[in-house]
Amino acid sequence: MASGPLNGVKVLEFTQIIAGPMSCQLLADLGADVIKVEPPGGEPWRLNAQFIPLESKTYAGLNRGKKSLAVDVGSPKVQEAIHRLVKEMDVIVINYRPDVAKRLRIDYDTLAGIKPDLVYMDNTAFGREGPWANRPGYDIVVQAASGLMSSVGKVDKDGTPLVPPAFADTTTAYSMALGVCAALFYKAMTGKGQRVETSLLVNALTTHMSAFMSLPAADGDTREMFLKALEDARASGMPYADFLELRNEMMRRQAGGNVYYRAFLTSNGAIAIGALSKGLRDKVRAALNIEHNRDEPDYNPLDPAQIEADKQLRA
Amino acid sequence: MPGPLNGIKVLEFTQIIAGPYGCQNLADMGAEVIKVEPPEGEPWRQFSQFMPNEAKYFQSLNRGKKSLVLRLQDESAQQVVYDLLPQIDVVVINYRPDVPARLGIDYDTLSELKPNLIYVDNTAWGRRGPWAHRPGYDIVAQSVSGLMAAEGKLDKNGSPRQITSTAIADYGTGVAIAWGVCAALYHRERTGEGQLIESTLLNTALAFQGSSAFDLPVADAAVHARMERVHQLQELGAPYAELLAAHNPQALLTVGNIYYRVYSTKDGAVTIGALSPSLFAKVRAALDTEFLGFADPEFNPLDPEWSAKATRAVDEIEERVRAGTTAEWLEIFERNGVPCGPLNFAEDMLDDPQVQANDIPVSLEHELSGPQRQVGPLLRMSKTPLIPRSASPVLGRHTDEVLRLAGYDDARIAQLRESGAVA
Repeated sequence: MASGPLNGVKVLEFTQIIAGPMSCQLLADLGADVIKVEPPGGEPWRLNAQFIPLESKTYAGLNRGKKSLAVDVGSPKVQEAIHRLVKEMDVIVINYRPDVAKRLRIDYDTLAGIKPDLVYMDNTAFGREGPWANRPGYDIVVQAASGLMSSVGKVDKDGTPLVPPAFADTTTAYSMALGVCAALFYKAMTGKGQRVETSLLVNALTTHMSAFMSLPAADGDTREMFLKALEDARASGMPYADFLELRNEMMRRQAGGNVYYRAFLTSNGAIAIGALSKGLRDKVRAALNIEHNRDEPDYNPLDPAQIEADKQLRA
Repeated sequence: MPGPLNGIKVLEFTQIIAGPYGCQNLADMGAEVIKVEPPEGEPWRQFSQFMPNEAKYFQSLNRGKKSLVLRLQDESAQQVVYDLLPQIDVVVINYRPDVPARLGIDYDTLSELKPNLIYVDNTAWGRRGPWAHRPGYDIVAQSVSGLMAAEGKLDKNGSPRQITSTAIADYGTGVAIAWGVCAALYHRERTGEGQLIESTLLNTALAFQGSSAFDLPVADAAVHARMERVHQLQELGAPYAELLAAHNPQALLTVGNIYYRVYSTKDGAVTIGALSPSLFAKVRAALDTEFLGFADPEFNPLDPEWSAKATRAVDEIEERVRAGTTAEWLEIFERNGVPCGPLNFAEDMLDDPQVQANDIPVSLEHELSGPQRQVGPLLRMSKTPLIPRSASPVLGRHTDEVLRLAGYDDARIAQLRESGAVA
């Protein structure tokens, strides 16, 4: 049964690994007809931990509901075929480095010349401009370069940072689906297509928006102090784990008596609670049978006496 | 040039992160977003507030919106919503399932008044099932969905720690809310129909773990064995650290991993990501090693002999990387064409040349707290550029303006203020 809000919309996908494939899977879930263009050997994610030839769980989980077109996009004949196919398409989703699309003659200008009302969703690792534009980047590199990994602040026993799940990729996938739907709506209203761009970088930064944000009235001198400490640490060649310890100390000072939004260890596992309003914090205090002045008007988490009291409370 | 949702009016009944972020994305796209808040303001205004009712968290999630203060328990405030509705295209709501009906702003009531309404109903757990009526924040969704265990982070007492980098279930859901609205607007444009859209934190948290929350019997013998062991331990009441060790989904993939990881250096860390055979070869060239890791046809992390050999090789490589500086290793990896980058801190990224070159930061002026810079829109659109129109609103800043939009005159507005139904 044909259904979904994008029923009848045709998408041509030039992507691999996680962000692009997941975004096109979301479009397929919404009813779009997605044709995935893959190299004759299959995209790399088919080959990652494959359990039968050219099939892996990582691939199968991100490509449901699609058609696969295996062609060598480097070949001029194939490019001709793609140019003919584009006339039938509504949306292109592409996730190559900025210089690659043009080389393969599937860049926006070329394809919009063939099909003017095309919606062209273009994702890159670091954006199309700037010194890093043409660098390759996977989720892990963008997590490191954007500060997402250091926000996690987790190191192994040797002090090497550990890597969180592929959040830059998964959030970018959602943004790409958002961009396609917004552009389709605009096209339905006006008849016009356009190019939509996003990057792993902007998505990674967005997910920890208030750390990135500069707001002098709120930051006081803490932001500058942190940046100065970071600069000093870099100049002195301080190891990452040591700086992280310093940063955590600076952060912890602000975290105060957090018994309200955290995980607790139990005798046979763990339990998470989340209380972010006074009403819910009252309930936490009742459930834990504690008294705490967190919601009193004179509560000051930076007061040394309060820091000590909060420490006692957590213990 | 206006954004793609220029002219679309959104009425927002949400708080904290997921809903506000979803509606901020709509505001970035040009929609007019009216945020309905209780008289005391939504809780995120007070979390780490630096002046009354203003907090950095709040300001980072509510730019470009109007603030309308309504005490929704009052019938006269509910009437304001009904009077506004003819002009509204989209309602976004993020209350527990039983609350909207109690306040008279559930989908059935509102779509009766406005049949082509698009109504996004976000909840923590969904509207059906044993958990439907439970409250839930990102942290609980992280815990329940398996995300927290997937991160496997413990503090020094062995207690689990949440994913502190970011409220990922909330942010992801915020983007899902925005694309749900856009997809439904597209459908309305083609057919004239509105509809109810439901999203949940639980679904987002699971979608972000696609290959773990995925049962594929033909490939999953090892997973089933692992989970059987976890369930046995759970029955025995084993502590969390033991459960985690038994679950440890990454363990097998990390044995002998030289390709997709972070290396400690003398003065920091360097991250590389290589996931194709040609990039694997470049990594080996950069590291000057013959060790194949998971590109080895003999790769078998379950074989003690292979595993011991791999551990020795990785230790030797790690030691060499640790002897050099971050700058030295970045140069080596870059020269060999390996995707690589340093490990940065978010606070440091506003002035980063790459971030600047792509116009990621946006500078705004808040009427109470002055200048600020934050992450701008997620998307760049060639015909309909996304331009945040203002910083976040002061509490109740637009109450009068919105009431006039609903057709109320000054006398009526004064009367409502007097009763406390609006502020």
